[in-house]
Amino acid sequence: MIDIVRCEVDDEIKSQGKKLGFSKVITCGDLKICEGETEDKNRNHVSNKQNDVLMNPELKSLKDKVHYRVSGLNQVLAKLAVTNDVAIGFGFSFVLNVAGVERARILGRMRQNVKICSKIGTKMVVCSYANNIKEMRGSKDLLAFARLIGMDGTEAKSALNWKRNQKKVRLI
Amino acid sequence: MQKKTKLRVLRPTLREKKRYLVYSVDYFENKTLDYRDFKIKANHDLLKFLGEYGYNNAGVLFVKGSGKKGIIRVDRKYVDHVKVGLMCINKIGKQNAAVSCVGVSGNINKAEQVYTC
Repeated sequence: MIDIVRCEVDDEIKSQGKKLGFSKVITCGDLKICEGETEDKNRNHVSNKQNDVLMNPELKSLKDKVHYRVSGLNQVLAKLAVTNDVAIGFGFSFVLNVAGVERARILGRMRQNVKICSKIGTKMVVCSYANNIKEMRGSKDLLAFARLIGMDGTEAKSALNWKRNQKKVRLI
Repeated sequence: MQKKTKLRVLRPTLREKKRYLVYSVDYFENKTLDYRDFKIKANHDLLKFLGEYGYNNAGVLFVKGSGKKGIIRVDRKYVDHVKVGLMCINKIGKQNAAVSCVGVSGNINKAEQVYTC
Protein backbone atom coordinates (compact mmCIF):
# COMPACT_ATOMS: atom_id res chain seq x y z
CA MET A 1 0.00 0.00 0.00
CA ILE A 2 1.14 3.51 -0.85
CA ASP A 3 0.63 6.77 1.05
CA ILE A 4 0.94 10.33 -0.29
CA VAL A 5 2.04 13.13 2.06
CA ARG A 6 2.51 16.88 1.66
CA CYS A 7 5.70 17.15 3.72
CA GLU A 8 9.23 16.05 2.77
CA VAL A 9 9.82 12.32 3.10
CA ASP A 10 12.78 11.76 5.42
CA ASP A 11 13.91 8.66 7.36
CA GLU A 12 11.52 9.36 10.23
CA ILE A 13 8.50 9.49 7.94
CA LYS A 14 9.62 6.38 6.05
CA SER A 15 9.93 4.40 9.29
CA GLN A 16 6.56 5.72 10.50
CA GLY A 17 5.05 4.69 7.16
CA LYS A 18 6.40 1.15 7.55
CA LYS A 19 5.09 1.02 11.11
CA LEU A 20 1.63 2.02 9.85
CA GLY A 21 1.62 -0.70 7.17
CA PHE A 22 2.65 1.17 4.01
CA SER A 23 5.21 -0.26 1.59
CA LYS A 24 6.03 3.20 0.21
CA VAL A 25 5.46 6.86 1.18
CA ILE A 26 5.47 9.42 -1.66
CA THR A 27 5.60 13.19 -1.38
CA CYS A 28 3.60 15.68 -3.47
CA GLY A 29 6.72 16.78 -5.30
CA ASP A 30 7.12 13.36 -6.93
CA LEU A 31 3.72 13.68 -8.63
CA LYS A 32 1.81 16.42 -10.39
CA ILE A 33 -1.04 17.06 -7.94
CA CYS A 34 -3.65 19.82 -8.28
CA GLU A 35 -5.84 20.72 -5.34
CA GLY A 36 -9.54 21.14 -5.90
CA GLU A 37 -11.08 24.55 -6.58
CA THR A 38 -14.31 25.63 -8.30
CA GLU A 39 -15.85 23.47 -11.04
CA ASP A 40 -14.45 25.62 -13.87
CA LYS A 41 -10.89 25.37 -12.55
CA ASN A 42 -11.32 21.66 -11.81
CA ARG A 43 -12.27 21.18 -15.46
CA ASN A 44 -9.00 22.83 -16.53
CA HIS A 45 -7.01 20.61 -14.14
CA VAL A 46 -8.71 17.46 -15.36
CA SER A 47 -8.35 18.40 -19.06
CA ASN A 48 -4.59 18.71 -18.70
CA LYS A 49 -3.05 15.34 -19.58
CA GLN A 50 0.14 16.09 -17.65
CA ASN A 51 -1.65 16.11 -14.27
CA ASP A 52 -1.59 12.93 -12.22
CA VAL A 53 -4.11 13.58 -9.44
CA LEU A 54 -6.87 16.07 -8.69
CA MET A 55 -6.88 16.10 -4.90
CA ASN A 56 -10.16 16.76 -3.07
CA PRO A 57 -12.26 18.44 -5.81
CA GLU A 58 -14.81 19.38 -3.12
CA LEU A 59 -12.43 21.69 -1.24
CA LYS A 60 -13.45 25.14 -2.46
CA SER A 61 -16.87 24.28 -3.83
CA LEU A 62 -19.59 26.87 -3.67
CA LYS A 63 -22.73 26.65 -1.52
CA ASP A 64 -25.04 23.68 -2.08
CA LYS A 65 -28.00 24.17 -4.42
CA VAL A 66 -31.58 23.46 -3.42
CA HIS A 67 -31.93 20.27 -5.48
CA TYR A 68 -28.38 18.87 -5.44
CA ARG A 69 -25.07 18.95 -3.56
CA VAL A 70 -22.24 20.96 -5.14
CA SER A 71 -19.18 18.73 -4.78
CA GLY A 72 -16.81 20.13 -7.41
CA LEU A 73 -17.20 17.11 -9.68
CA ASN A 74 -19.84 15.96 -12.17
CA GLN A 75 -20.19 13.24 -14.80
CA VAL A 76 -18.54 15.41 -17.51
CA LEU A 77 -15.42 16.04 -15.41
CA ALA A 78 -15.26 12.39 -14.40
CA LYS A 79 -15.32 11.28 -18.07
CA LEU A 80 -12.58 13.82 -18.91
CA ALA A 81 -10.52 12.42 -16.04
CA VAL A 82 -10.85 8.91 -17.50
CA THR A 83 -9.79 9.99 -21.01
CA ASN A 84 -6.84 12.07 -19.73
CA ASP A 85 -5.78 9.48 -17.09
CA VAL A 86 -6.15 11.82 -14.12
CA ALA A 87 -7.06 10.22 -10.80
CA ILE A 88 -9.38 11.80 -8.20
CA GLY A 89 -7.79 11.98 -4.75
CA PHE A 90 -9.37 11.88 -1.28
CA GLY A 91 -6.99 13.17 1.40
CA PHE A 92 -7.83 12.45 5.05
CA SER A 93 -5.98 15.49 6.45
CA PHE A 94 -8.78 17.82 5.30
CA VAL A 95 -11.29 15.81 7.35
CA LEU A 96 -8.93 15.67 10.33
CA ASN A 97 -8.22 19.41 10.56
CA VAL A 98 -11.84 20.51 10.51
CA ALA A 99 -14.70 19.85 12.94
CA GLY A 100 -18.46 19.93 13.32
CA VAL A 101 -20.70 20.94 10.45
CA GLU A 102 -17.78 21.59 8.11
CA ARG A 103 -16.51 18.02 8.57
CA ALA A 104 -19.98 16.64 7.87
CA ARG A 105 -20.21 18.78 4.73
CA ILE A 106 -16.82 17.57 3.42
CA LEU A 107 -17.69 13.91 4.09
CA GLY A 108 -20.99 14.30 2.25
CA ARG A 109 -19.29 15.85 -0.77
CA MET A 110 -16.66 13.11 -0.79
CA ARG A 111 -19.45 10.53 -0.77
CA GLN A 112 -21.04 12.10 -3.81
CA ASN A 113 -17.71 12.25 -5.66
CA VAL A 114 -17.06 8.56 -4.94
CA LYS A 115 -20.51 7.70 -6.29
CA ILE A 116 -19.83 9.63 -9.51
CA CYS A 117 -16.33 8.19 -9.97
CA SER A 118 -17.38 4.58 -9.42
CA LYS A 119 -20.27 4.97 -11.89
CA ILE A 120 -18.06 6.44 -14.64
CA GLY A 121 -14.99 4.33 -13.84
CA THR A 122 -12.55 7.06 -12.83
CA LYS A 123 -9.45 6.04 -10.89
CA MET A 124 -9.56 7.01 -7.22
CA VAL A 125 -6.74 7.55 -4.72
CA VAL A 126 -7.09 7.58 -0.92
CA CYS A 127 -4.21 8.89 1.17
CA SER A 128 -3.48 10.65 4.45
CA TYR A 129 -2.11 13.79 2.62
CA ALA A 130 -0.38 14.64 5.89
CA ASN A 131 1.34 17.96 6.60
CA ASN A 132 3.55 16.35 9.24
CA ILE A 133 4.25 12.98 10.86
CA LYS A 134 1.48 13.48 13.42
CA GLU A 135 -1.23 13.51 10.74
CA MET A 136 -0.22 10.17 9.19
CA ARG A 137 -2.69 7.33 9.73
CA GLY A 138 -2.53 3.56 9.33
CA SER A 139 -3.24 1.65 6.13
CA LYS A 140 -6.09 -0.37 7.69
CA ASP A 141 -7.65 2.84 9.00
CA LEU A 142 -7.49 4.47 5.55
CA LEU A 143 -9.17 1.35 4.10
CA ALA A 144 -11.99 1.83 6.61
CA PHE A 145 -12.20 5.51 5.62
CA ALA A 146 -12.44 4.54 1.93
CA ARG A 147 -15.29 2.12 2.71
CA LEU A 148 -17.03 4.74 4.83
CA ILE A 149 -17.17 7.28 1.98
CA GLY A 150 -18.79 4.69 -0.28
CA MET A 151 -16.16 2.54 -1.99
CA ASP A 152 -16.54 -1.21 -1.98
CA GLY A 153 -13.75 -3.59 -0.92
CA THR A 154 -11.93 -3.90 -4.25
CA GLU A 155 -12.19 -0.18 -5.04
CA ALA A 156 -10.77 0.70 -1.61
CA LYS A 157 -7.78 -1.62 -2.05
CA SER A 158 -6.99 -0.32 -5.52
CA ALA A 159 -7.33 3.29 -4.26
CA LEU A 160 -4.55 2.59 -1.75
CA ASN A 161 -2.40 0.78 -4.34
CA TRP A 162 -2.61 3.47 -7.02
CA LYS A 163 0.41 3.77 -9.30
CA ARG A 164 1.25 6.59 -11.61
CA ASN A 165 1.25 5.79 -15.34
CA GLN A 166 4.12 7.12 -17.35
CA LYS A 167 2.81 10.02 -19.37
CA LYS A 168 4.12 11.10 -22.75
CA VAL A 169 5.88 14.45 -22.62
CA ARG A 170 5.18 16.61 -25.63
CA LEU A 171 8.38 18.25 -26.92
CA ILE A 172 7.85 21.66 -28.45
CA MET B 1 -45.84 -12.99 48.50
CA GLN B 2 -44.62 -12.34 44.97
CA LYS B 3 -41.88 -14.62 43.72
CA LYS B 4 -38.77 -13.01 42.27
CA THR B 5 -38.49 -14.10 38.65
CA LYS B 6 -35.12 -14.04 36.98
CA LEU B 7 -35.01 -12.58 33.50
CA ARG B 8 -34.05 -15.22 30.99
CA VAL B 9 -30.78 -14.77 29.15
CA LEU B 10 -31.36 -13.48 25.62
CA ARG B 11 -31.15 -16.08 22.86
CA PRO B 12 -27.89 -15.96 20.79
CA THR B 13 -29.82 -15.24 17.59
CA LEU B 14 -31.42 -12.18 19.20
CA ARG B 15 -28.20 -10.70 20.58
CA GLU B 16 -26.19 -7.91 18.91
CA LYS B 17 -23.51 -9.16 16.56
CA LYS B 18 -20.31 -7.68 17.93
CA ARG B 19 -16.67 -7.27 17.07
CA TYR B 20 -13.74 -6.55 19.39
CA LEU B 21 -11.47 -3.83 18.03
CA VAL B 22 -7.91 -3.60 19.37
CA TYR B 23 -6.38 -0.12 19.13
CA SER B 24 -3.04 1.46 20.01
CA VAL B 25 -2.22 5.10 20.82
CA ASP B 26 0.96 6.84 19.63
CA TYR B 27 1.95 9.86 21.74
CA PHE B 28 4.98 10.84 19.57
CA GLU B 29 7.58 10.47 22.33
CA ASN B 30 5.58 12.47 24.88
CA LYS B 31 4.42 11.22 28.24
CA THR B 32 1.71 8.53 28.02
CA LEU B 33 -1.57 9.54 29.60
CA ASP B 34 -3.98 7.73 31.91
CA TYR B 35 -6.57 5.30 30.47
CA ARG B 36 -9.31 7.37 32.07
CA ASP B 37 -8.26 10.52 30.16
CA PHE B 38 -8.19 8.56 26.90
CA LYS B 39 -11.64 7.06 27.54
CA ILE B 40 -13.18 10.48 28.21
CA LYS B 41 -11.66 11.99 25.07
CA ALA B 42 -12.51 8.99 22.87
CA ASN B 43 -16.10 8.87 24.08
CA HIS B 44 -16.52 12.59 23.44
CA ASP B 45 -15.02 12.41 19.93
CA LEU B 46 -16.93 9.26 18.96
CA LEU B 47 -20.18 10.87 20.12
CA LYS B 48 -19.34 13.97 18.06
CA PHE B 49 -18.51 11.91 14.97
CA LEU B 50 -21.32 9.34 15.12
CA GLY B 51 -24.01 11.49 16.69
CA GLU B 52 -26.28 10.33 19.49
CA TYR B 53 -28.27 7.96 17.27
CA GLY B 54 -25.18 6.50 15.61
CA TYR B 55 -23.40 6.01 18.97
CA ASN B 56 -26.44 4.12 20.21
CA ASN B 57 -26.52 1.89 17.10
CA ALA B 58 -22.78 1.21 17.27
CA GLY B 59 -23.03 0.03 20.86
CA VAL B 60 -19.54 1.20 21.85
CA LEU B 61 -18.13 -0.33 25.03
CA PHE B 62 -14.58 0.07 26.39
CA VAL B 63 -13.76 -3.47 27.50
CA LYS B 64 -10.24 -3.02 28.89
CA GLY B 65 -7.11 -1.00 28.28
CA SER B 66 -4.19 1.09 29.39
CA GLY B 67 -3.03 4.51 28.21
CA LYS B 68 -1.31 2.92 25.19
CA LYS B 69 -3.51 -0.02 24.08
CA GLY B 70 -7.04 -1.21 24.55
CA ILE B 71 -10.06 -3.20 23.38
CA ILE B 72 -13.40 -1.69 22.32
CA ARG B 73 -16.56 -3.70 21.65
CA VAL B 74 -18.53 -2.47 18.62
CA ASP B 75 -21.51 -3.61 16.59
CA ARG B 76 -20.51 -5.53 13.43
CA LYS B 77 -21.99 -2.97 11.03
CA TYR B 78 -20.25 0.00 12.66
CA VAL B 79 -16.64 -1.18 12.81
CA ASP B 80 -15.53 1.13 9.97
CA HIS B 81 -17.38 4.09 11.50
CA VAL B 82 -15.68 3.65 14.88
CA LYS B 83 -12.27 3.15 13.22
CA VAL B 84 -12.63 6.46 11.38
CA GLY B 85 -13.98 8.13 14.52
CA LEU B 86 -10.85 7.06 16.40
CA MET B 87 -8.67 8.24 13.47
CA CYS B 88 -10.11 11.75 13.90
CA ILE B 89 -8.56 12.09 17.37
CA ASN B 90 -5.44 14.26 17.09
CA LYS B 91 -5.06 15.58 20.66
CA ILE B 92 -5.68 14.12 24.11
CA GLY B 93 -5.58 16.88 26.67
CA LYS B 94 -2.71 19.09 25.54
CA GLN B 95 -0.69 16.28 23.95
CA ASN B 96 -0.61 15.30 20.30
CA ALA B 97 -1.72 11.72 19.77
CA ALA B 98 -2.78 9.36 16.98
CA VAL B 99 -5.00 6.30 17.47
CA SER B 100 -4.73 3.38 15.08
CA CYS B 101 -6.48 0.04 14.81
CA VAL B 102 -4.24 -2.99 15.37
CA GLY B 103 -6.83 -5.70 14.73
CA VAL B 104 -10.47 -6.77 14.80
CA SER B 105 -11.79 -10.08 16.13
CA GLY B 106 -15.16 -11.67 16.79
CA ASN B 107 -13.73 -13.47 19.77
CA ILE B 108 -12.54 -11.70 22.93
CA ASN B 109 -9.88 -14.36 23.58
CA LYS B 110 -8.26 -13.79 20.18
CA ALA B 111 -8.54 -10.01 20.68
CA GLU B 112 -6.68 -10.38 23.99
CA GLN B 113 -3.93 -12.35 22.25
CA VAL B 114 -3.45 -9.42 19.85
CA TYR B 115 -3.66 -6.99 22.79
CA THR B 116 -0.92 -8.71 24.78
CA CYS B 117 1.47 -8.89 21.76
